[in-house]
Amino acid sequence: MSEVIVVTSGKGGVGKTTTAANIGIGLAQLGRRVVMVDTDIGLRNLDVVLGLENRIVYNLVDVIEGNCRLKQALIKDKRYPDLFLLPSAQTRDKTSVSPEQMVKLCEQLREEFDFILLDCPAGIEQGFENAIAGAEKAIVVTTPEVSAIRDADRIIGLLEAHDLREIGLVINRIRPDMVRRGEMMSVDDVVDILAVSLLGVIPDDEQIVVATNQGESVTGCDSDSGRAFVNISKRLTGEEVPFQTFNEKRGLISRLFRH
Amino acid sequence: MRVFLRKKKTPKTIAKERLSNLLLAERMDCSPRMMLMMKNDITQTINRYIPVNEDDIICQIRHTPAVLIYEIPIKRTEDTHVKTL
Repeated sequence: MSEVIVVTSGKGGVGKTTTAANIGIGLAQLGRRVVMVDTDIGLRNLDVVLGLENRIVYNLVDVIEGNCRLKQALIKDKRYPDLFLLPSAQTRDKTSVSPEQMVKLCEQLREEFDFILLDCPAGIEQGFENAIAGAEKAIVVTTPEVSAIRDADRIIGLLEAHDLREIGLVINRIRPDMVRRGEMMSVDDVVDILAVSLLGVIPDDEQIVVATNQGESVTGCDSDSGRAFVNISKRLTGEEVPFQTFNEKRGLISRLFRH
Repeated sequence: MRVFLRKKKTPKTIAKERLSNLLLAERMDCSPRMMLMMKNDITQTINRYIPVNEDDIICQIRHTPAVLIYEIPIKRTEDTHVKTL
């Protein structure tokens, strides 16, 4: 049984693409056949996050317009046996594709893959409508900030209005030290406000910037964020994984008091 | 004395409170100002019969099914004999 999952957020810059890339790689590491589809037409980015930008020949719009076969447009990530990218078009806009065409594309991809991950553009316009059309599950990415949570709430409402009710929340860039000092909303606060089930928590981690700069992933690396992505991927395959508590970097004073 | 006992507002509690009010208004599809007016009206009405803690009222709305939830803590004074709720 294959699953079509859209990764969305409403607000831009919360880490949708990075999350999609790392989850895709996590699923591939677990031996699943995965295709990631960049649905952000005109502003593609999943290719650079994955380090595959130099290998694009055909794109999503070419497939939909019949300029090439689906297989010709799929880029194989050589690092994993069954990980593919369907890149987006950079010189077109979102009106080049319709929701019906996306549904058809997703059905085609289902025949070849276990997981189809759709990286959704920011916003709630046609790009969003296209991305969610063929999906049966949604991953909503947010950060513990007022603006991102507000947009996530709006997106959850829109997803439910489109009968997409299986929603998993990913809270990105949590700073355990700030939460502890009462300076940032905690995971519980965010889940409480949005009232959807939690899929994963990713701590703010410099390693993500380092990895993304090189077109690599953190998934599976020996870091809190790397482990968080592995856990999310496992949860998506149906495995029950407890939520981790992060190693807080303690200040000198609190360290003195603890030891 | 009550002033000292009140919980100190942290950036986190302020963020949560702002978000709760904002989302409540947006989920109801009306302005934050109108929600505030409704909240005040409800509080005043109840306050006429039972003394309530106006600062600690929690007001939220759940998506599915759509339910408006008011949690209004009752003020405990020496005259009121409210034990547990």
